[in-house]
Amino acid sequence: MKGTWVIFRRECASLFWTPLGWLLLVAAVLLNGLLYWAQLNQTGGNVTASLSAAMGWGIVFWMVMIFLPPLLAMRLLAEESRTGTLEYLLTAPVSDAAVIVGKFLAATTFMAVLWSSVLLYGLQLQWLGSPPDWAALLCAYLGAILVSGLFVSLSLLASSLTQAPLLAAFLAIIGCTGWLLLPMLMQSALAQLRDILAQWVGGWDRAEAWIQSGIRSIDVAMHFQQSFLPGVLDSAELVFFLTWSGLFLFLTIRSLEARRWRV
Amino acid sequence: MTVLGKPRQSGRGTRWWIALQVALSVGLAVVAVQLINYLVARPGIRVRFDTTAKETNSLDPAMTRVLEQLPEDENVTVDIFFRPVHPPLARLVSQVQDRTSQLLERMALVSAGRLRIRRNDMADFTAVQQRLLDLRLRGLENCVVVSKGEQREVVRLIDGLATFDPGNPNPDAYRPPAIRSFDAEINLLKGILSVTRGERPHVYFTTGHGEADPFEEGAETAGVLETALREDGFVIHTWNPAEDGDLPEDAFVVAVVGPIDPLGEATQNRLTRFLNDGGRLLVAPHADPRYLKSSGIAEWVKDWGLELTEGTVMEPFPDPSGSGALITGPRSVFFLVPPSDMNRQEILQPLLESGRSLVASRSHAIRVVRQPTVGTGLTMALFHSAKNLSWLDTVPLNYQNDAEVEPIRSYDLAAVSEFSVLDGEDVSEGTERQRSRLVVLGSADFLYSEILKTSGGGGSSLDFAKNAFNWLASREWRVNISPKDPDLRLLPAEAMPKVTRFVIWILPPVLLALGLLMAFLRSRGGPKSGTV
Repeated sequence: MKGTWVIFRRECASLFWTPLGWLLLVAAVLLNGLLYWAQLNQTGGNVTASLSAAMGWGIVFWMVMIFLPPLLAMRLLAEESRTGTLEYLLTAPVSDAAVIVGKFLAATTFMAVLWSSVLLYGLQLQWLGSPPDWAALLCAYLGAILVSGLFVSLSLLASSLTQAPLLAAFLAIIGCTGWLLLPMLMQSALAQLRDILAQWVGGWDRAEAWIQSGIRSIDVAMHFQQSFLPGVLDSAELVFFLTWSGLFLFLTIRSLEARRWRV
Repeated sequence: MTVLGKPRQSGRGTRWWIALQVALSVGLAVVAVQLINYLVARPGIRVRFDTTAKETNSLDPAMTRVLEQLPEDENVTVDIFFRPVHPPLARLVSQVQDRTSQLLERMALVSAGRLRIRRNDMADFTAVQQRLLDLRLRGLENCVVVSKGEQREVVRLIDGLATFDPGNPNPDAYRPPAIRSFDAEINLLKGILSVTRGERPHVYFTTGHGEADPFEEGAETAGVLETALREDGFVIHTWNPAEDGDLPEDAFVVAVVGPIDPLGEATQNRLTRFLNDGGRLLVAPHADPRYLKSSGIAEWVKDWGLELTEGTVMEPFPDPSGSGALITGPRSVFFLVPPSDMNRQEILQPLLESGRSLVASRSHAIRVVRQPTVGTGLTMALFHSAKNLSWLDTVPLNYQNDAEVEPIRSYDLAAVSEFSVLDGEDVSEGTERQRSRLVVLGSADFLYSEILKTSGGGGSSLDFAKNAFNWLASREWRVNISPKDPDLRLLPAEAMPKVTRFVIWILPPVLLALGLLMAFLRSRGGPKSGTV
């Protein structure tokens, strides 16, 4: 635990003391702010809809999710591995799990800071006399952090697989995009093949329902947009994000351990 | 990765062996995660908290009850046929479509797989036509279709899922278009109930004694009630004992609404026998004290431990001049019964949950004087008049409170009884039959078209009447839901420039300045990175 805290502090310091971190933050906040502002104008000042757009309905949210965690994670493991500092870290008196969890928490904290800009929007609305539904907004914020955690953990796994930071970022972007678009692609494929399969497979309706349920079970956007975003705290959705993030972290730790016996 | 087995000697073989083990362990981990997620999503384990201020994400309890009672073997399918529309309703229609989609997702979740949502891509013309053909429908768009087997119900977006105010485009009296009410939940519920209803209960309204006729239109008829009950899945008949003889075998509920002439001992005996045999009976005497006496209903209901008083319950009404004073007069016979004056019973549950009042008019008072035989049932009052205001105006009615003989207190206006008559004389030895259910209303005015048509109480009088019949027919779960208004929070247009300034011109530059400050501090020897 102590080791995790030390790594967390180290990584937070390195994230917030580098211009890259702030540049990414400014770019993301500006884009998201533009979306929020446009939504407010478009909906005639609908506070709930505009905050929802900034916190998860809008394209900017998902673009940030696809690009920012890979860019953050590429330097957390791959770059450290390339410069050799990772070897020092791994020989330090902290466990591999502490290293990975510390880095994961630091990157997720960075994302949490980024999404806290939406809470600032809420504060301003409160000040202007149109208070948002705070409980629902905080629930959406919690969800945004969990989604960020999931993408950070996936990006960390990609970062642990290679020593080239750009390749790590590329792999992570592919992974995040795939994870996000896979359900849509599968639905599309299913729609294309439905007629053919219905002819060949007996009881296709039941099979299709089963496949649809399988597709839905891995749909990150749906898990977030149907629970946290509208203000529903759902134990199943909480477990979904925690278990998948946990799985990727577990695989990252294994991948890091594998370096030892590979060398 | 950890090598689980004994490594092989050959290089390539060892690599394959390790790769296999890695793939296997990753696969097992994924399966474990999926299994955990599957288990925590099971009903009973899953816990949901709606954190929104107006609980906009929660289904109405009535909807939840219906979804939980859907038959497990046959799925109900909801087909969505949504497409964008042209201005001026484009944005509002899009909002309704989004809200309906979210509502359906929540319904599917609660139904635990018994409700299947099917989104039809309107861009795929062939697929949409094929689906409509399967549903034996044509030319539909912007609607949802609830179907089960051969049964189907179409709920259109406009005037089904929501009602719209088109606004006024005239610049002098400009009013933007708006959503008047979002009725998706109630109309989808009606659709589900319609396609899943099994045998339709037969309701017989007695006639031949001057009762309110369900097949006639007019103030003191039950025409509105008949339409509502028919739409709710009942089959309505009339029964004239003198002409038709015995009560038909398929009678499930019998309603005696506002008789003027004596029912006669034979009819009363038939109905008593029907009720004691597990039948369901609704009795609503005429509000006029003369007819209460002449019909013999006051004497008849004593058999079930109920007493109907001859007078009329009244409450003072606010001075129309707006002085705020309460005055009395003929209008004292019309008043509202708020949820605080209602007792917790299935019939009133929807009104209590939605906080709606009931419209009362010209009602006798009811008193529960005796409970059914111990252990066989319960008789209870449903709702009462205001305890600090109401009085029972004695005959002849003068609409004024005579404090000496007409004490100010609450008076019960309706009662229900559920009991079973035992075959044996001893409670412990008796064999229980199907439980009988009885509803006695203070007057037939509660069911008259005149009252049910009024918008007072948000249509709660009609809901109450339907719920009473549904309770009698053991269909407590077929109840009505009030439309839920969106929690609309709007930012005034004049505040928009401030938002623009903060979101675009203040927050990002401040962050940029902070970043530059950090870079500057770093260049001056700030922490480059932490140490372990």
